[in-house]
Formats: sequence, structure tokens, C-alpha cells
Amino acid sequence: MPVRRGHVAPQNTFLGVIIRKFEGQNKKFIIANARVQNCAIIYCNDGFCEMTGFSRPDVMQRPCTCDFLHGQFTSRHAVAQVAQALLGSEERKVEITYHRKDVFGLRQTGWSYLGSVIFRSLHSRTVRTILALSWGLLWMVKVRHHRGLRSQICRA
Amino acid sequence: MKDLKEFTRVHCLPQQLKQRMLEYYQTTWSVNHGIDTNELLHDFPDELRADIAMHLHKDILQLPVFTGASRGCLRSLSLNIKTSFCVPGEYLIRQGDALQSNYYVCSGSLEVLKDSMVLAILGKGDLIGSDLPGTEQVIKTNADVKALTYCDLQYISLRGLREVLYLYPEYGSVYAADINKNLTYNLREGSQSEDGPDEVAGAPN
Repeated sequence: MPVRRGHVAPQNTFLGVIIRKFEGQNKKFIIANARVQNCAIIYCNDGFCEMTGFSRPDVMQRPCTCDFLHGQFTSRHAVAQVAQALLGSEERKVEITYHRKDVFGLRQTGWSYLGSVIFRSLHSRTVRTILALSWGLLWMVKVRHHRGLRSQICRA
Repeated sequence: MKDLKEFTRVHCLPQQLKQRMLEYYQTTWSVNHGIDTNELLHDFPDELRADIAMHLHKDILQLPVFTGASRGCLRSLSLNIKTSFCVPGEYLIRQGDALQSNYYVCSGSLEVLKDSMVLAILGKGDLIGSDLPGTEQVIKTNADVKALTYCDLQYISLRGLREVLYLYPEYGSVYAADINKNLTYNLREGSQSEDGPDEVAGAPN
């Protein structure tokens, strides 16, 4: 498609800036609108979809607590921490195990993610105050479960 | 361009409307250099038209929802697809309108707004529109869709889609089952209040 267009310059929207910033840092993130009921996810980037195995239509509109990522190894304590962090408005770091999308019914074994989840609450100063939350997973733990529960940890 | 300016002068169009017209005209020109695709294709035989359409719209046709379609079905679908674009700040769809087409975003970004609340941000590779509830009812939209940047779009008319699905009923059931997995946002009035987020492959509640 040709680069030259018409005269209108796209305004730098608040959300556009956030997305560009996180994409630039190669983060896997989602953005949720806290003013919508159940704090629905309004955007997730390609990195997030690749990492979790869920497609964008799967993720959109779901509550930002990301229940769809929970699995057998997700601790209830961590889930509660996440829920609490989302209620507050300061940056929080939570460690939680998430599971990739189950493709062949092999949820019991295979890959799990253990990562640091950073919560950031962002406030816009414009009249249309959208409260947006974003988090990014930093590193990944491969947990292979055999009889002896051996586990290997490595950085992504 | 001169004709356009004459037109706006003769009909005393308000300044804002005139600006939008000129902007759209300018962008149209830079996109297709004054060549009307539909007019050009009109003269060609069906086979050739389908081949050209399959190439022009390969972006939307590579969506997973279309993988179950037979060759003939895909070609019929491709004849119902058109390209379009959106200018920053323009509304693609308004809340409460009757939905005419499903749109596929080839580039650019848009936002889905309802009562000034952002419900979704759409970008490259997203499909927005509605599923087909089965009956011939009119589909009313439940939100606005506004372009944030210049967007290239490919859209398939719902009427054309219904016609093709009628001709290929075996694909019709596949489409009805898969469409919700491909729609980034469902604009159909009432679709949000129906059975809420259902179980996603194995995720325990």
C-alpha cells in the first residue's frame, strides 16, 4: 500500500502510545478497561497470543484476571494476589503459574509458564479518563513432570 | 479535484464536510490511482474475475474460518469481497445501524466504542462484524467503530455471504460453528448478553 496518504495526521491517542511503548520493549501484554464491567480485556498483542496459545478472539472481552490461563498448577494464593493487585492502583509484581492453551488434551504434562507479572495502573489526564492496566510476563519456566517431579528452570 | 471543489461550492457544503470529502478523494487517489477495480473487473468472464478476486483478497480469505470452504465456495465468496479504507477519525460503523458487511483489517488500527467507552482496539488481522444467527433478521450493531489511523480493509457483504452459504450448505454449518472463534469483536446487538465467556479448552473455573 502506498505510504503517501491524505492530509489528516492520526492523533496520538493515549492507548496508541501505550501499545507502541510496550511493543517496542518486546513485552507480551494485555490492556483492560477498568471502567467496563468485569474489567474486560480490550487489546492483547501478538506476543501474548503466541506465548499463551490463545487467539485474539479467544482473549478479547474476557475479564482481565485471565481465568482462562489458570490450570492445575496455578496456586489459589497467587490468584488472590492478582485479584487484589487489580483492585489497587499501584504497580505490583506477582509470581504465578499460567498454562498454555490445551490443544491435545495434555494439560497434565507439558509446558507451564511461571513468570513475574507486573501490574501497572495507568491514568489518563484527559477528560475521557480511561483507566488501563497492563502486565507483562518476563521469563518462562519449563516444568516437565515425570514420576519424580523433576523440574528445570531456564530463562526465556 | 476541481470538479469536487465546484460541487462543494455549488451545493454550499459546510466546511467540515468539504474537508472530509477532499481528504477521502485524496486518499482514494493515492490508493488506486483513479482506477475503479469493480468497473475493470466487470468486463471479464467469471473464471478470470474469480481468479483476480482471489488474489486481491487473499488476506481475508486466509482466515481459519474459510479453510473448510471448497474451491468453488471460496471463489464465490471472493466475488463478494471488496477493498476499502478508512481515514483517521472517521466512523466505519455507527451504533444502531444495520450491519451490511464483515470487515477484515489489513493494516491500521480502529477502536470499538460504546457510550464513549473503549471496548476493543482492533489492528492488523482482526475480523469485525457479526455471526449469522440463522434467520433472515436484520443485524443491528451494538457499538461504534472508529478508525484511529489510515486503515486498509477488506469486507464481505453479509447478503452475498448468506447467498453463498445457501448455495453451499455443507460449508454453512462449518462457518456458523467457526465464525465466533475468528471474530475479534461481535457487533451484533444481543450477542454480548448471550451465554457469557464459555469454557476455553480445558481451563477450569
